[in-house]
Amino acid sequence: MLKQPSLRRLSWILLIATFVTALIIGIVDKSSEQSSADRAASLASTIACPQCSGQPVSESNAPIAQVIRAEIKSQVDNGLTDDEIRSFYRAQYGDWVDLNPGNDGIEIFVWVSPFLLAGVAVGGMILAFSRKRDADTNEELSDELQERVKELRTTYESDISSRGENERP
Amino acid sequence: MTPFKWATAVIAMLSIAFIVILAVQNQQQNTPNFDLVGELSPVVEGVSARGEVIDLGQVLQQNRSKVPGEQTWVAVNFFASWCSGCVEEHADLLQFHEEGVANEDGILCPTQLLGVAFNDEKADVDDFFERFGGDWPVIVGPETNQMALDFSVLTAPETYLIAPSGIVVLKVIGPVTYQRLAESISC
Repeated sequence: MLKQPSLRRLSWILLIATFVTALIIGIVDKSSEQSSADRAASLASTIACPQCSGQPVSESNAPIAQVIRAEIKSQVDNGLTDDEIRSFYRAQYGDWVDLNPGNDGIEIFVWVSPFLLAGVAVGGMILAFSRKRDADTNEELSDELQERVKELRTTYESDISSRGENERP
Repeated sequence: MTPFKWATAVIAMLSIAFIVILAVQNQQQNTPNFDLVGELSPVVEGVSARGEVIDLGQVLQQNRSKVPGEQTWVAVNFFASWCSGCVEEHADLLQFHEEGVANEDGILCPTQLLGVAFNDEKADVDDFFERFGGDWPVIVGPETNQMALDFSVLTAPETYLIAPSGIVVLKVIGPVTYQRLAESISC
């Protein structure tokens, strides 16, 4: 059975290993080349059907959704970037058709808030654990308790010394 | 109150404010381009079901060398064979195409009707016209997708009336009537 400190160290190692693995997979996945069909499908899932309420064109059977899906594929094949394609639909139907939150104004909170919450959670945990450790190690005894400890120690020492005298041959 | 509790309270308040802002935002705000009226018409160019080359730009170019009474007004009609509203408006479009529009003096204003198939196939468009009549040019093919999006079309039918200058003067979502088209034309 593992001792308590080793278990804690193992937990930290596992946590860091998981984080690093997830980070590597995320980076490798982003850098890998997407096929044009994948790109078109990904864009279609983040452009709202203008005739429906908030449904992406990838999930709608409305005629305009079919038209947009076909046009996105054609735009991707013609070499337009994702930003250019999104801008085109925003210009034609309004900003609301872009289901991806923007990176300015109030919408930036959507991107920032997970990191903010994670930071607060980790900070909170560190704070809570450090307080507990401080409480465990640095708690000061009251005068009354210090007196009592001193009394017990004196009694204990006198007991030990009297027992030693009695045990002499 | 500990700093930790303060931080929690601030984050909770920020979260609530964020949710309220998102909830009260008017999400479906269309751009000015969505209306198009008063704007220059997007390009309408393609090949009709009968193989004719259609080019709105060419019509507008020819208008420049004509006097106002002889300049052509163009109605662009996005339609589909699967659309019930298109059947409903068809008689009015036939009237527009065959009779034209006369001014107060009874003189005919030059007009042209152009159809654009919206998410439809050539064979179905041919069947539609065989069934309901009419022989105005209708653009079919993949390029119609781009045209529909340039006009910010939502569904069929939609009709746009383009003045001889190239400016869109009328947008009708749903079945159009002869009356709506006629009263918007002057020459």
